[in-house]
Amino acid sequence: MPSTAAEPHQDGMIWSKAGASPYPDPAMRWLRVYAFDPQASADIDTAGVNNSLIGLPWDAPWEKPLTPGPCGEYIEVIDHDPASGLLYDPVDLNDRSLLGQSGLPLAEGRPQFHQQMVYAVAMKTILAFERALGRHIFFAREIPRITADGQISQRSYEMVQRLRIYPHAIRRKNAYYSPAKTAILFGYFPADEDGQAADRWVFTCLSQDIIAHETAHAMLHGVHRRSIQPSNPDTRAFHEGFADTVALLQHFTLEDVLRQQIAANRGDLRKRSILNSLAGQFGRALRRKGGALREALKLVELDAEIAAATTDFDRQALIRREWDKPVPPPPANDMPSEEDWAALRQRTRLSPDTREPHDRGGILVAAVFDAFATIYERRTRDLMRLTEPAGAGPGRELPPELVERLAHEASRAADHMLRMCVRALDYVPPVDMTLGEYLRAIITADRDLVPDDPLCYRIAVAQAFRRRGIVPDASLSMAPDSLVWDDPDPGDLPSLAGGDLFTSLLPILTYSLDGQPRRKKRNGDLETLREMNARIVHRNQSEIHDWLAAEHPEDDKWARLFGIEMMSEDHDRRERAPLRSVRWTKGQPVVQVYSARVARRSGPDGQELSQLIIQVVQKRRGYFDKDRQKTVDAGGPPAQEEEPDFWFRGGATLLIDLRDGRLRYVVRKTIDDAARLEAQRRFEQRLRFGAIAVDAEDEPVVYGAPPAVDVVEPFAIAHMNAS
Amino acid sequence: MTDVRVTVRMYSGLLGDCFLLRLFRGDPEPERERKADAHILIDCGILQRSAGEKDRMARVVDDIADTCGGRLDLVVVTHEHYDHIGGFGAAGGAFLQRIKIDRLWLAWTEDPADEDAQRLRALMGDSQRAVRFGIERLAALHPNREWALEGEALGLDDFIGPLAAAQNQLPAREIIAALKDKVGPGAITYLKPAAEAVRTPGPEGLGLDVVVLGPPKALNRLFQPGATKKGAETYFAARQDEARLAARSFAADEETAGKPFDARHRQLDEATLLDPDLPAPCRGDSAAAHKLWEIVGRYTSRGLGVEDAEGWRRIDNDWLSGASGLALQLDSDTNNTSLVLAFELSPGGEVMLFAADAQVGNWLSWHDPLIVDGKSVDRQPSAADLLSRTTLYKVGHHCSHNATLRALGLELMTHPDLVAMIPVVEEVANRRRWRMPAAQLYARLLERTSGRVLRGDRSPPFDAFGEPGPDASRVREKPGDATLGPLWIEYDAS
Repeated sequence: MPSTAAEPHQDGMIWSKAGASPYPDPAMRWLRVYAFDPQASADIDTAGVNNSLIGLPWDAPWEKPLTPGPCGEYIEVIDHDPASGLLYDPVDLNDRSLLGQSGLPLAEGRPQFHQQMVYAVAMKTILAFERALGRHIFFAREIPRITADGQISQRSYEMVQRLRIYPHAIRRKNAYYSPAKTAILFGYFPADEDGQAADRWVFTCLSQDIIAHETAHAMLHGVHRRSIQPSNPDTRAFHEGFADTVALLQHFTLEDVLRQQIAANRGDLRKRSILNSLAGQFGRALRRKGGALREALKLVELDAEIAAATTDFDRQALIRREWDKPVPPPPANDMPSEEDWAALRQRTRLSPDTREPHDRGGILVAAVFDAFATIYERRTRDLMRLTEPAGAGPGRELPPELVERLAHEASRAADHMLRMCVRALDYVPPVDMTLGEYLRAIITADRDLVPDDPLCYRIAVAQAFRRRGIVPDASLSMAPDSLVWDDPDPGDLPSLAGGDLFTSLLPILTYSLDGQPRRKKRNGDLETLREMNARIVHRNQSEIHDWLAAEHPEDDKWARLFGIEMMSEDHDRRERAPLRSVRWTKGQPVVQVYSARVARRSGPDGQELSQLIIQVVQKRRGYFDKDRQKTVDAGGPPAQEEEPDFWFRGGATLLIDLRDGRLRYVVRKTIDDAARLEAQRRFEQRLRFGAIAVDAEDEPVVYGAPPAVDVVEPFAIAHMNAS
Repeated sequence: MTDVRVTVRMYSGLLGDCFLLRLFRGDPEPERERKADAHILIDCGILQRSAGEKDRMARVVDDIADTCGGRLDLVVVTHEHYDHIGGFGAAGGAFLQRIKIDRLWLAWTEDPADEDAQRLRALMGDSQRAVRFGIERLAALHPNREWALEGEALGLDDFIGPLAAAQNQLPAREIIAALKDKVGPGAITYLKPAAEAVRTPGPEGLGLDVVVLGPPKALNRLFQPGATKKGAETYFAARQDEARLAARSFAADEETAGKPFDARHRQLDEATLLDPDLPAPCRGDSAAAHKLWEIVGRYTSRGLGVEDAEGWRRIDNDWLSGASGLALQLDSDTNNTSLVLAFELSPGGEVMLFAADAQVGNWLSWHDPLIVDGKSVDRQPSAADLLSRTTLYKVGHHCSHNATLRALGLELMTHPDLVAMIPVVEEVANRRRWRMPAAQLYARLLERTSGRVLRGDRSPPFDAFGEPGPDASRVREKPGDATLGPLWIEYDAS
């Protein structure tokens, strides 16, 4: 009788006992990537270190197994190239030929290698981020709502399991994160040599920096869903600056490069090198002169030059070199004027005139880089001093052991800096954050996890930010202790105050995934751990929402705590009229719970911290016309569907220490803050009319507002303008 | 200078500009029904593909030819947009065959000898090519290519004129070339803002002094460099780069470096793979085929219900989205290169302001000092002075919201006799989702002119004229046939 595989074997029981595989899974999957980009292989200084390996943990049993694409738990790479009308075969990283040689070898001309590289670099970025944050990350999607007349109005939001990456999506000098598609679209373009088309293509998906940068945008949007809608000059700047910070700090995880560059620059990280600049090919080809990172490094250099220019002659020379005013520069032999010199110094600091997101973000990157370099210098001061007598004098190379130690310290410092920057994301207000508030978040988050600060990291950060003019709004002292968010005022707390504030809430939430049963999905598969996590987050969010919405005799105090409308219309403690420009249903103001997450973090010395982070947000109708604002504030909109000129949001991030259930911080943006409303009004006018159509007071120079233009791909535009 | 009387004729029913200035000797008071002593035409166009485009243009050309007796003393072309110049190329060039043009005025941006203009034209040229190629590629994706090429679906080429594929019509660029060719280089004047006024040509003593307000020479006024600190030069260079690359990327493959990868690295045609009827590979097919099948399934959400389908993540057309952005930018940039003229009806007296489609940057530049031989010189007369003497305002850009300044524009037009003319057809504009006229600007115009706003899509508001303002007898309307409506509206500006 002919046997076929489809037929059940009579003795099937025997074979099922044999198990799937007698061998343990490998711990890591190694994949080859360019350390920088293909151009670096053609450059004699970088060719030797451009071949790099990224190790990713092997897929865990509770994750989606890696399939061709590559498609894994966090990322799916789909290689559709519509400009060429083609789809490229997906790379199968489990193919034995690839497992045996750490993935495909570097190849600019092989699309499957491109898929491998975007996957490896994006995953590496995600894992570093997630480790610092102390919880699973999800991605976000903005769902546009189309109004009757075809305009895009508000957007709703949903969590997305996997970020999609298209390595060859567009034929443009651009790569961008698309919030509407939850995808990164990489571009490629014909290389341009002296204005002539060269017979070569440049692929943005082969640059570590660009991949890391775009992935960081996607993660940041996942953590803070409002972060992509600008409400003040810092919103977009923070997005750009943060993404470049992540990309920059990733450089210090490349061991070969780090060792080589530390040897070449004798341990100095502040000197311009491939470590602290964008890789050549794309820097040039993309002309990303306005990139936050480039801007940042220019600032760091300019700082050093300003410090070094002690004679009038040097100062005047610097003033002339950096001259950017429409009138001719002052003559070389004149004394430098106080005014010009002050203006030049001001250039390295944040000012209200720095409006372009990449310029503004660059100041953030410069501050972080400065803090990082200071931390590294403090950590290595002893090493450098020890080697001095041994004669590592000018012209002599550093001993390899020292290079090794310095490289180790640099990567430790970079890792530490990244963790500080990422952890802070849970300590910022849910909407309308400023860079100064981000500084306070960094300091507070670090103090919570590492109560003492023996190496003065927090001072280094505070100092670096101050030097860039990034300061919190309130005229706070810049000592780290005063930058920490204030404890909630006990007088403000509802009478359940102290440890019991959330007693009725905390028991109904789920905190841990451990021991929770994994469910089957609609398609019959078992959900992954992250999918289960997403389900629990959803449930917690809706529990919190219901808990908040329930009427409470002390709603006046709750309202003050959250900084939003929380009392019912006819609450007996109501002192002023309800704010009708927020939405009301059945006599209750509408409140949204943006997120409710449990984070477990561990500090460098094994410190543990478990926190519940809740973001509560409310939105209010904003109008350019102040009289109209008053009318709607008092009487509500003519119809719920009416689109206001802009949405003004308020709310709070609550940090609750799960060890004792105590409310540690309320990071608040109040909904009735008139000054903030006015600031956003001016910002929105400038945005809507364009910089040229508003005057110095941000008042429009024409009549009436243009129709609101929905920016479908906000990051695509941000990057084009930067070019 | 003898006393000159001017009657301004605005052709109706066009979403586009066409103004015939009829000049009379003022002594004795002329009979306006008679043939004028000199004729100046400012622009002649209608929006592409608007209803009755050809018929409307034909009757306008007929009327111009009849009114001027086949000869125009001067033609002014404000900028290279189809809705301002289409008429010169309409009906296989009937205009140029029938009407002799003595002199042609163009903005400095058209001057072949001007270096700034050359750079500008290179940028515009690349942008236009990119938009054209982009339209071709988009149309190719469309099930009905011809229909898509006609542009109804796209509308991206509204202002640059028909694609080469369309018959019997010239694109804007070539219309200007034909016009220049016909007039001859000796009869062309390129105008830029200058310290001296220019005089309109025509019979002895029948000239008007004209102050050229725009387009500006300064790049930062010509373009909108956005919020960036970098100078206009950097911005301009980036724009050039972008346009050149876009043109190259959107061009058909044979005009570029071809496909990015060598065919030996497995690649498959999207049309086959993304076809919903594509059969699954069978067991005998290669492992690679099965992997491809799986990834394509993920992309197309094959077999997934509405709830799980992820069609929203596809990227089929994203690479072309650059074309529409570029088209919009090109339109607005070109508008901003508008030649803006202030005609003095008498020395130091009342002014007619023809703002063409000037955008904010152009308007702002009127108030800047002039740069003459590297030195900055105050304008004489100043823009504020000219605006305060303005009694006839040709409203910028069909009364869109950003083509009339507030504090530095309309609020300075304080003359009690102010009259506004808006060449607009609201219904046509609305169909394209353009807010013309823009509500708030229009309301303010009505206030400033005490209701004396003449529109291309309405009969004149005769009631609004009369004491203390200009008399209703200075306004006339020429009826047309039932389909196309009135032919023109006239106003005796002096």
